Amino acid sequence: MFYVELLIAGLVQGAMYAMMALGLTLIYGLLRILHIAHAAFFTLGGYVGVLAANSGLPLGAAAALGVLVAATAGPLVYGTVYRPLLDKPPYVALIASIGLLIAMEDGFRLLFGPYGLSFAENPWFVTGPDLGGIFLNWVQIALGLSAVLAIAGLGLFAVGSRAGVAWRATVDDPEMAMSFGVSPERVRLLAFALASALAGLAGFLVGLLNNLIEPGMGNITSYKGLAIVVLGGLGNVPGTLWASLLLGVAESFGTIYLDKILDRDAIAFFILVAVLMWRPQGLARGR
Amino acid sequence: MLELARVSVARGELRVVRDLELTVSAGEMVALLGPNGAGKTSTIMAIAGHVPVVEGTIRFEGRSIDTLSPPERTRLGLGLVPEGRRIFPDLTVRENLVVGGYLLSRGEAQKREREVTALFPRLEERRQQRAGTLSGGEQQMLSIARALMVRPRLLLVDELSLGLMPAVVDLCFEVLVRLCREQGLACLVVEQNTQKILTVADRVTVLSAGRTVWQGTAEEARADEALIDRMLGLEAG
Ligand SMILES: Nc1ncnc2c1ncn2[C@@H]1O[C@H](COP(=O)(O)OP(=O)(O)O)[C@@H](O)[C@H]1O
Ligand SMILES: [Mg+2]
Repeated sequence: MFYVELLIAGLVQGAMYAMMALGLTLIYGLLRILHIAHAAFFTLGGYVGVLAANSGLPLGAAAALGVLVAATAGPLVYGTVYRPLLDKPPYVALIASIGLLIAMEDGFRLLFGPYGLSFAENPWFVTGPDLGGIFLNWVQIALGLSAVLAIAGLGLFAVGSRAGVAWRATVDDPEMAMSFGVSPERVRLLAFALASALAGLAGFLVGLLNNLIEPGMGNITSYKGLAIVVLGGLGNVPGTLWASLLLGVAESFGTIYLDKILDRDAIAFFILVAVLMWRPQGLARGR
Repeated sequence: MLELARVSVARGELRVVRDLELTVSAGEMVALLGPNGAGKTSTIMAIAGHVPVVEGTIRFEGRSIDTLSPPERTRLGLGLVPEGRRIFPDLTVRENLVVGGYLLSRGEAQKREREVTALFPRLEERRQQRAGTLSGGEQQMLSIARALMVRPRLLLVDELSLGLMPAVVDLCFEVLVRLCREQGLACLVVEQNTQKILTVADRVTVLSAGRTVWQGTAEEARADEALIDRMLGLEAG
């Protein structure tokens, strides 16, 4: 039972990583930009959510508001920061992205203070269903469910709708896709909206899980997200999902067996370094 | 249908095509020949709107299309089968056609999909296969089928036969010739395989280093193959 619980906790953590890494890999696939500032949208979703919840909104509505704000801010940031840099060498956008992360983090610090905010009430954290002896709180359930729904929804969209097919065509050959009437710009805006929405939701739920929203809360997740997309093959969506779950489970078991040698957050990078020494292209092929 | 009047095409600062005069009429197949680097692809991509025209005018069905974007030209009735085929490798055959028909309504696109796959039964069999796993010949058929989705009145075809087996090349040209004859499709075709193209084209333009060095009917060219060979002889291999 203990191992089953570890496995489930790992999968829930992996689901959270997947929600973050999916956005990174989608944006990389379209723009060849490592969107480091993705972490700031995770934090943004958390702050909007906690402020909304503490002002009396139900948690569900607070979550929705956080998602909405993140989904609006993502395309805005793309339009103002990345779009002007698209024809510059890729490292320019990378540096801009790092700068943006620092700026947004300090923005949160200025606006909301350095110590972080907690939820006045956190009912999802303290209650949950009993699944035959395994206890999960509602936040964990929500994390797992959101990831599954987001992935399934994106998958259906990608193969089942004209817009999804147009998106994948744009990843393959933007110039050709454009000549058939697909707007690469609209695809990019949509990608930033979706990626940022997922990041915002993940940030809100992690905030509930830790009962703390603080300016730098996205950093660790963001570094791990980068490790995951490299492991999964840059731009490779299924690879990214597998790598997310793998890391979540590895961390979960690692905290038991590697506790004395490795910090939990170091496990991702230990795996990354080990895998890259063995397979420099990552576990799966990128684009 | 298509008229190029004293057209010069630039790649960056460099003019790679100068003073090109070229017409293609409905139902006609015109071949654009010349050694590597002559400017054939640049001409095709300029007509499709991907490469800038710096002098002269391109007219399509009487109106100048110089300021139109590539999708606007697609909408007007220009189809492109680009060099290297450029199918979407991660999409299935069917999905490639969906993108080809992106400017059509959903119902219209489905109808066209059936019509273009009827032209290439091999594609029909492979509808759900990832395009990147198709053979070169099948990819070329897909590239043609994708361009035909919007019922273009002019088809621009760049290096159709490159790397393909003769039987596949014959099949593709058969389809193009049939569309020219039966539906009045106009074709501008870049081809390295002179032997083949001179048997199917109506007229020929030969470029070398961006200049037009010969123009005439395919019949004249066939009669004077030495002439064409000499011009293409500049090319290695
Ligand atoms: N993308 C490009 N950027 C800059 N120059 C190019 C590009 N593509 C082709 N060229 C140059 O334009 C000239 C004509 O090339 P191209 O149109 O491809 O000829 P062809 O198709 O007849 O082989 C060549 O000198 C080539 O080097
Ligand atoms: Mg060429």
